[in-house]
Amino acid sequence: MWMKKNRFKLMVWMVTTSFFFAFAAILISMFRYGPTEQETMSFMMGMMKAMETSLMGLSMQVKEDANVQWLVYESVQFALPLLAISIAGGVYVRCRRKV
Amino acid sequence: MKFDFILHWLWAIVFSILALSGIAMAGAKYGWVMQYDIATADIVHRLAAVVYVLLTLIIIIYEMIRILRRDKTKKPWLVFGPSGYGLFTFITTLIFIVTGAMIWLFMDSSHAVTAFALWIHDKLTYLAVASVIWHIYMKSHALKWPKKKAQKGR
Repeated sequence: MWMKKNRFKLMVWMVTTSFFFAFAAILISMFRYGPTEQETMSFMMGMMKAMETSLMGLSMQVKEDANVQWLVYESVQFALPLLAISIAGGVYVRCRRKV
Repeated sequence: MKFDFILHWLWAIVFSILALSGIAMAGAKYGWVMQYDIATADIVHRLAAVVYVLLTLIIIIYEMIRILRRDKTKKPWLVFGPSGYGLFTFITTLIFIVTGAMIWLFMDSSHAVTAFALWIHDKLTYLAVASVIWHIYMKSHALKWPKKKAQKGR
């Protein structure tokens, strides 16, 4: 069976291990001492860098761009009726078919 | 390979990336997870979030198609379900998406909204990661390494 192949099992082990790492990282961070002054500085510098170079900075630029804001506004005008129709359609199907 | 199986593991990989990159941004105590490289964590988190939302849409559409076709076959790998862990995942996913969008959109305009959404996003992460550990424990048979086939000649 394809699920018992070694490469599949290896992927399962890697993905599940990553969750254990995430959980351990949360516990270690929660219950350890600190943060120290150095760690706080590193974190703040990282945040500042993120403001300038990452998508966070890009999203701030988008907010200042009138054309992009107009595009977003128009998209929302289309999206909201479509969303309402989709929800109504979903409810109709769910009630009608009784699945 | 089954479609629901692919969705399940794509989901798991994307959620793992989101959890690890998100933890790094949770505070000064947590920054060591990504060596205080918050800029990278931010990019990774936002890109993975887009994939996460798309996967959510695909799974919902897939479920709707199944309802329309009256397909009642069991899909053991499907991420969302009407009860149990599938329902929990569905609810937490929607809360993650809504609060994530609130943080993204109101970061500069409303500190109150951002703080409220961040608090929920943050606490829900701990709950979701803990629940994933439980989920792995319950499905630990998937971790069993396949036994070698019996050697010929025995």
